[in-house]
Formats: sequence, C-alpha cells, structure tokens
Amino acid sequence: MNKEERRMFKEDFTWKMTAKALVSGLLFATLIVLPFFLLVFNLGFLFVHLLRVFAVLFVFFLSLWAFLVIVFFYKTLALYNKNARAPIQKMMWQDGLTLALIILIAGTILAIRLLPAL
Amino acid sequence: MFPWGFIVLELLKRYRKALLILALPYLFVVLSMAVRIDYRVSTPGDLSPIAEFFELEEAQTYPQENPFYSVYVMSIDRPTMFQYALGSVFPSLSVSELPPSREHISDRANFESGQVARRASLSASLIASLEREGYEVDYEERTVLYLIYDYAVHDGLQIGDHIVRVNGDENVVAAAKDAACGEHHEFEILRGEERRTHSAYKAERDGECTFGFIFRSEEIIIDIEIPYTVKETLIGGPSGGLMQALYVYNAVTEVDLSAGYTIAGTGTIDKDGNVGNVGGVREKVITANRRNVDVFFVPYRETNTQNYDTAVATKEKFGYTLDIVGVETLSEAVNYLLSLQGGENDE
Repeated sequence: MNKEERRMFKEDFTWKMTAKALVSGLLFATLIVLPFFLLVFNLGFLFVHLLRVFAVLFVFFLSLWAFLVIVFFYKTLALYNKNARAPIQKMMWQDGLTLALIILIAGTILAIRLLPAL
Repeated sequence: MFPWGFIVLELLKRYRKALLILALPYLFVVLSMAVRIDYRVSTPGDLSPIAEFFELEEAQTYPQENPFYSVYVMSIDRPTMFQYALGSVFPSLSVSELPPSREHISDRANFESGQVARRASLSASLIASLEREGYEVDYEERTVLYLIYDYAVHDGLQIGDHIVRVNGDENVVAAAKDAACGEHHEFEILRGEERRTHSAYKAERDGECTFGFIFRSEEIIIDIEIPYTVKETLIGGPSGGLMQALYVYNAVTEVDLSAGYTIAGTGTIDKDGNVGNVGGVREKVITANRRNVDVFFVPYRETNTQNYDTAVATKEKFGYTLDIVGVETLSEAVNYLLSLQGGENDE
C-alpha cells in the first residue's frame, strides 16, 4: 500500500470499521476452523502414537485459520462501505489475498518440514 | 454498538439455506467433541527409556547396549462424547466407567500424586537393586501426603509433603485416624529441607470422618554409594518400578542383560524386590507390540494373576509374538534375562 492508497483507504474506511471487520474476521474464521481443531485434539489424545501427524495438522489448521481471518476481514470491510473507490477495493483484495496466501503456504511448508523433526 | 445483526442478516440473506442446513450438524459435531462425560478411555501410549527418568553416575556403572523401557499408557478421564464413541469402536482402545475413587480429585492433584508415586518407586527400585548387589544404601521411612481431595480443608498443605507429626504425635497415620471430628488439627511437615506447621480440619463426609487426605509410606534415600540424578518428566505413577530396578541392576553388574533384545515391562517394586500389580496392562502390551519389544515383563502374583492373565489374553487375541514373562520378584526377572544371555542364574 503506497502513500496515496493509504490516504484513500483512511478516507473510505474509519478505524472503527476496520476494528469491527477484524473482530468478524476472527469470529468467522474461528467458527469454521473450530471443528478441525477439536478433531485434532480429540484424536491426538486417543492415538498418541500418531501424535506427530496431529501436530502437523495442528500447524496446518493454524495457518488456515490465519488465512480465513484475513479473507473474512477484507470481505466484511468491503461490506461496510460498498461505495469505497474501486482502486482501494482492488488493492485491498490483492494485498489481503497475497498476505493470506503467503501465510497459508508458509504454514503448510512449515508443517511438512516439521514432520521428520517431531 | 457492533452491528452483529447486520453481519448475521447479510450472511443469512446470502446463504440462508446452506446455513440452516449446516447449523445443526455443526452444533452436533462441535458439542460431541467438546462436552465431556463421566467415563474413562484407556489408550496405548509409548515406550520410555528408563534413563529419561533418572541417571546413575556414569563413572561407577557399566555401559548398556540397549535401554530398558517402561511403558506408559494414556488414561483419558472424562473423555468427550466423540472420544467415547471411538473408544467403543477401536479394538486397541477400551472404555470403562470412571472409578468412584477418581471423584473429588482434580487433574492437578491426580498428576502430582502420580509424580509422588514415581519418586517413591525410584527410591524403592534403587534400594532393591543396589542392596541385592551388596551396595550400601542409607534410607529412612517417612509418611508422605500422597493425595489431597478437592473437599479437604487445610491452610496450604501440598501433595508430596513429608508428615513428621500430627498433633505432636510421630505415629502419623494413627494420630490422623484418632483425631477428633469437627476440629482443626496440627500437621508438622517437611517440605524439602524446610520444617513447617499447618492445620487441617477433620470433617464428617459420607458417613465417615476424614481429613480428605491419603498418606503413604515412602523410603527417602539419605546416602547412597552410586550417585544419581532425577530428571523431570510428565509421566507419573509407580508402574515403572520393576524396569527401573532392572536398569540399575544392569548398570552396576558386568554382564549386560540388555544385549541383543528390546526389553520392556511394567510392575511396581518394593524395597525388598517384590513386584506388584498395575493397571492398563492390556494397553501396555499393545504399545509394546507396536514398538517391536522382544521381552515384556508383567507382574505375576501367586495370589492375583490378573495382570499376567490379561497380558497373555491380549497377546493371543491380537496374535502378537513378543514374549510375556510373568515375574513376582526382581530376582526372577534378572534370572530370566541371564538365561537369555546364556548365563547361569544369579541365585
């Protein structure tokens, strides 16, 4: 985000809107990933000999959760001001999705690399 | 005011049907994996090399080719409904009712008493194995606070405290038993090197007058010829006693009993080398088989062969090939391993 984009963003979205979008992002991402986390914990304690597999899954779901937080954050933010200027809307999705994908890919790579170390 | 309504309505408008269809199964899945019920699920665990619990001074011991292993299993008290369902389906898991004795014991107290039991079994195994080989071990018997129930009323006693006197009386267990109901009583304790005084209230509960404590006797080692270091571990309980004693015995004798075999087992031990029964034998045999154990020691008491019977039944049920060896004393286990090495019996 360059200086001009930051200025336009501040004009189109207040701090309050951003904070609320973040809360809803956290909420919806948690709602989606919660069953998977519960599954990992439930199975992890039952099948201790497969603990490393569940540890890897845990890391993966953690990055999936972060991915979803960012996606829902921008999605909700866009809902708050449908009249936000087009370049800003486009920039938000580009930046947001890039960050989210980086986290998801990094998390997945970390999970796979952790497998032999566990 | 945060517009929850706005977001929910927006989502409902867009995905009304899908959300309604998903809501019930979602709640069912989440609740079944979060709500805990009063049962116990026992699951196989893993092997633990004895050297993870304590180490003997290297300069005074002989090298060992293989570690001796104790076996730990997981007991999930109050599992979730999902874990209960899986426990009922998978043959390697077993489900039982939560024993009444587990009531009024917090998870923390359960863990701490497991640690006390592990430390006590370590002392007993050192005494049993070293005295068997003629080493001097100076120790004294003390009464230890083994468990504190949730309902106990006291001013700071802790699991693991050594009880020196109750109301000035050194005969601790009898003094606690004879203490009057409905009154506070004085406990003189040792916590580490520090001597302290606490009080506890003895009250009527379920028709019985009790402090809400369980005491047990423990050998405290004062001086020992072969120094050792105790390591911190999350694994608790006394069932590693026999294997600890074997590890110590093997470390101080020239013949390496571990050579060529993966040896694991379970069973408590006392200072005289007697092996006692334990829980979770079925899951321990499953664990041992998974980790390719060759020899698995299990308690065999003339008066109660339940542990041995369970181990043999599990081996036959799953078609395992590991050797189940029932032993009543440390000497029997040593002699069995000596026979594997082609040596003569030690007695």
